[in-house]
Amino acid sequence: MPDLLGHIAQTRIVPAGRYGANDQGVTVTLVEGVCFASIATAWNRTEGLNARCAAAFGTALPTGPKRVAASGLAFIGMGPGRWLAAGFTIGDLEGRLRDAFQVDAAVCDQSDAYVLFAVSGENARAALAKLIPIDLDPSAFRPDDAATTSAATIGVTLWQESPAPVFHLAVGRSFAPSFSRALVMSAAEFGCAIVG
Amino acid sequence: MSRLDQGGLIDRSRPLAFSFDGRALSGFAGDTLASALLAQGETLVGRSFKYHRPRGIFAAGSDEPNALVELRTGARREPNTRATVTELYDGLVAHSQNRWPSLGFDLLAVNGLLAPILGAGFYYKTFMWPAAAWEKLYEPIIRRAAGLGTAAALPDPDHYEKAHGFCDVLVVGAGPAGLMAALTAARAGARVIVADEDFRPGGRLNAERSEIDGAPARMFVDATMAELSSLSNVRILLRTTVFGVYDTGTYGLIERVGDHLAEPAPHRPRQRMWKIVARRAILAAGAAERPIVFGGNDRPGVMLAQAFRTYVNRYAAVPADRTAFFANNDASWRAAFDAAAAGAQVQAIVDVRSAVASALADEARRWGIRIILGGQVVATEGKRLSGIEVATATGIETLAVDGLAISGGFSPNVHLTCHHGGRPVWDEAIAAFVPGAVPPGLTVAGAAAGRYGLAACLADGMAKGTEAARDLGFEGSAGAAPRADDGDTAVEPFWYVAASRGPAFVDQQNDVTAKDVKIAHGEGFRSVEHLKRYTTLGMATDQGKTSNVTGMAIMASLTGRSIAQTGTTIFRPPYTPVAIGALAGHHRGKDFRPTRPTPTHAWAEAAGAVFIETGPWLRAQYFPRPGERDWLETVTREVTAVRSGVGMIDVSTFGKIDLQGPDVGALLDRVYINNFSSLAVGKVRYGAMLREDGIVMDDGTTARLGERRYLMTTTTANAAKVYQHLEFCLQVLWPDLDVQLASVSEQWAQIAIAGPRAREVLRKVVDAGVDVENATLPYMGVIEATVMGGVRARIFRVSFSGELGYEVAVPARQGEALARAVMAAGQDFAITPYGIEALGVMRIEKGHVSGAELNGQTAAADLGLGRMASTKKDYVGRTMAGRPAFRDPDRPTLVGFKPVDGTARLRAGAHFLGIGQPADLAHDEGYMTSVAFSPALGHWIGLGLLARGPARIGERVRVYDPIRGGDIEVEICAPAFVDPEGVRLRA
Repeated sequence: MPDLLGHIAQTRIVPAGRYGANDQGVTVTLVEGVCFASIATAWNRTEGLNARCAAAFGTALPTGPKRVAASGLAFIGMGPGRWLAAGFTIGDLEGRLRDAFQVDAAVCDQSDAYVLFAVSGENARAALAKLIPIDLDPSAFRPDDAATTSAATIGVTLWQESPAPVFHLAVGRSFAPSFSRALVMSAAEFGCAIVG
Repeated sequence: MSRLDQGGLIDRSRPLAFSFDGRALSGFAGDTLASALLAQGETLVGRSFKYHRPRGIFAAGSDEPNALVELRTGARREPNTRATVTELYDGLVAHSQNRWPSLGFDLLAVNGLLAPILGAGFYYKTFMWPAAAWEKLYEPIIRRAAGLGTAAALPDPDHYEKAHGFCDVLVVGAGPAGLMAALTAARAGARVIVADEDFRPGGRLNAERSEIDGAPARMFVDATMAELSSLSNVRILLRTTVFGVYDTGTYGLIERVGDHLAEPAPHRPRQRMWKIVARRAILAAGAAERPIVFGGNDRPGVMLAQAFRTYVNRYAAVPADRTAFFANNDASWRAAFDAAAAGAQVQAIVDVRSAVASALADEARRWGIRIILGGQVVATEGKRLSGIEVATATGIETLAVDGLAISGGFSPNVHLTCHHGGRPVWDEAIAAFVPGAVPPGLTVAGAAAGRYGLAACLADGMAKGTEAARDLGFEGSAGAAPRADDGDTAVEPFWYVAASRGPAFVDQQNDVTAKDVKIAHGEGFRSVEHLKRYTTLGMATDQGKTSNVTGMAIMASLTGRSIAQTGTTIFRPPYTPVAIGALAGHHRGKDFRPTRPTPTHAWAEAAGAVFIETGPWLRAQYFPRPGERDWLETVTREVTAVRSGVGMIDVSTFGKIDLQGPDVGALLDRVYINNFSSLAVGKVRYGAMLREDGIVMDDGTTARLGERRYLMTTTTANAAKVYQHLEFCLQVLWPDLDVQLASVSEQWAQIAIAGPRAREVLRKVVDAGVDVENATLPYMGVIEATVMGGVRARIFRVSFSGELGYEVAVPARQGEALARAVMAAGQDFAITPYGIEALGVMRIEKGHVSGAELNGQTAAADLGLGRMASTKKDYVGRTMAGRPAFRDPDRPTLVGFKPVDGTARLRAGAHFLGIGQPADLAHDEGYMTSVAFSPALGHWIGLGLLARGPARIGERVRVYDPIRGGDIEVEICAPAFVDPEGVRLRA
């Protein structure tokens, strides 16, 4: 099994292609063009922040590990008073959020900090169960649920966008090659296609 | 000994070829290695651990103490594999182990003659003199003579993986109680995982000829499995052992995905370790039979009665031609009747009891089985069993048998209930330990709880399944339990035949005899815990599944106490052995831990870098050029190029923490020893922070990007630790501070440009209008700018090398482009990429501390940072930094060193001694922390921690390095060897 990826350097994300069994139980898509920013609420300003968010983007920030999407943006709860904002080609996402939130939140551009993997397919849950120590069963983890946890000792923030299911996993850029190896090795028995 | 023509749960249409010790044999699908061997008349399977006594197959499951074999060959060779749980596959190759030259004739059986000196605790008492001989002579010999199989020396070609599972109810065991529990909970709507270590569900129902609802029990198993399989809320894990109970409802399981195949299927693992979080668990692991201890009870041909029954009923393999039973309970009589019904010759049932139920006696007579009540087997004969001696009321009688099925009753499989420290309790009614305190969320059903009757098992499983589901809010009609007969379960406690002749083994795997228990008692051991450790009773791969209770019972009788008073040892994970590979999963070889490439990795690779692991990061160590002899030549060139021209290095690995809010200055003042609230916007300051105990935690620079925004850099190694520390400070110490943290380490690539020509290179990288001249961007300044045509950047005027230096940060995806742009811009200045070796040389030349000095033992003053520490504010670690040990004038303090003999090489780790002083601990004055060959000076230099170092500048000390044979003199000097005034970095 280690030979499955033996020819691929540890330092690069496993390239597009088919790996493992002949089926296509798991599809991994590298999602490009997404901007990210971290949001941390200022001391005792949660209420004001929510009001500003609603005014600017038409939604309050989610409470707990959830995702809400509005105005072309998604806000993913990462921890108490912490969110990750994500959106396609927003341009200066940090500036836009900073303008919206003023002093009620600290915003940092994280667009280069993450690599975003979308994992789908009939066996997506079974493959992710080998990596992620949380319950991804449909009864426990539903669309717009999110979690910040670890996968094969690598920190990840994941959320589910579709009941299909499609899971999105944001992984620290320098960890992305190792994460992709762990993902492919876990999905190999179902057949794994990497796209993008 | 033969295979029956019909019956059993084997598939006669699928013959399987295998070999044992080179002999070609055959079995059927559905066999274990043990059943196939027995069906072929192979009763001698192994040699014992210590005395190399011939041993056969004793059990039919994971409790087997004797039939350990080496399975497979080459890289897949796997020693100590229990033949009784090894599912037969076509082409299986097995060898006996722990014998020489052959299984039949083992020269090391001579150890048996040494039994008088190899008894309990022999290694505490013999081989003690001379002491030096233990390590060099005795231990190697003992290790060679004793022991089990030999592991493969080649890398395991298979892979293992880990998985996480979640359920409402985890059912451990798919016997009658487990199946009913799973079915009941699943029907109520609970998410159920049911695991069984066997490849065939059913547990005892596979081994007995019982009926459920008036039909063969097999039909109940098939129907229940069919229903469970059809339910989407049920996962069935066969070939899966629940090996441990951990915190908060977490269970460890091993699924043997490919162990029953010659090689795992493509892309499938050999084994999968499950970590399952269950809201409730039901232990339905059944009960294990325990033996009676008597003389010669280990001879091949002696077997547990229920194992005998299993081989006959499940595998249609009759283990012996002429068999006697020796027991103290009714269930063994049923086993004997099953054997007779299958066509085996059962000569006699010897029961220690003076009377049994008349129904049993009547049935025995119907089968023509002789009944010997009040009898005891005192000895056995033959290399393979050929006869037994039975003591009866009228004397000793010899029976010519080649099989002896024995039973001392049953012990519930309580192991998992002990994993949180629960101690089983003695139940006199069934003469067995039953579960005591159980882990939270776990209940016990069926025989594992001491309810042995089949009807009781079914009803109890149903009740526990209902209870677990209801506890979790799942309501369902339980209905009535299937009808079955409880059978005969009477037992009379009996452990050891006092009149035994020959060694009577309590623990066959460890060769512990009843005599050993007596010796331990005679030497003063009373506690069962001490008994276990002194005699090794209950240790090794079977963890005493067949020996613990008997051993304790014998100890109890020796001490005149009851078994309840004597107590029992408890069990810890794992229930059965777990391969290390399964614990590692995919984390092996280069995938052992994550590898983090820097943003410029691909560029550095193309530039010919040699890489080195620094924690998880892979960093460029140096960039060799053709013709360079070694790394030192390369590094010397790189350092010279930086000091005389310009060089560049990726420093993205430093931790980067964004701090925002009105109170950042206040926070920094409290975590750094020096002041930061006074730092002006656009400025950078070097700082050191302490742990609470006064030891330096980390150092680095923090820049003030705006009124409310700062950016802290940490060392590569401490990036996460410092972030965690800041979070702790904010969440626990000062929750009133309005500061927001964010790690931006992954967001930014950072490249250092260093050397006298650095500014000239930088000018060509920044966009038009960006001023990087001294007036705008002086030493320790920072600006936000754009580079490479609109790429957002931060430019820090800082220097680790001591040269004019800048660190340019750009979004990580632009890192590689920046590296290329800097190299292109520096082409006219012969810019040289350098690695962390050259970086290290230059920081030593400058006397900067790094990981070797920030080693978790040094205070700020030790590192020459004492004057930086503010006396006007409080900060973390301040009080403890003032404790007497840190004020000791003799405390080793940072200074520099140069060899008196300019050609001598220095070595980090060498210790300082006064000139002429002996090399002993009393005269130790500190040690060298970092060394480098200084191209600027043309000789080796070092930094080190020396007692009263700064006061001794100009003196000489001895540098003693016994490990590498070094013993030279060095001169003590100031730690900054190059440009101590810092003129160059302000250029």
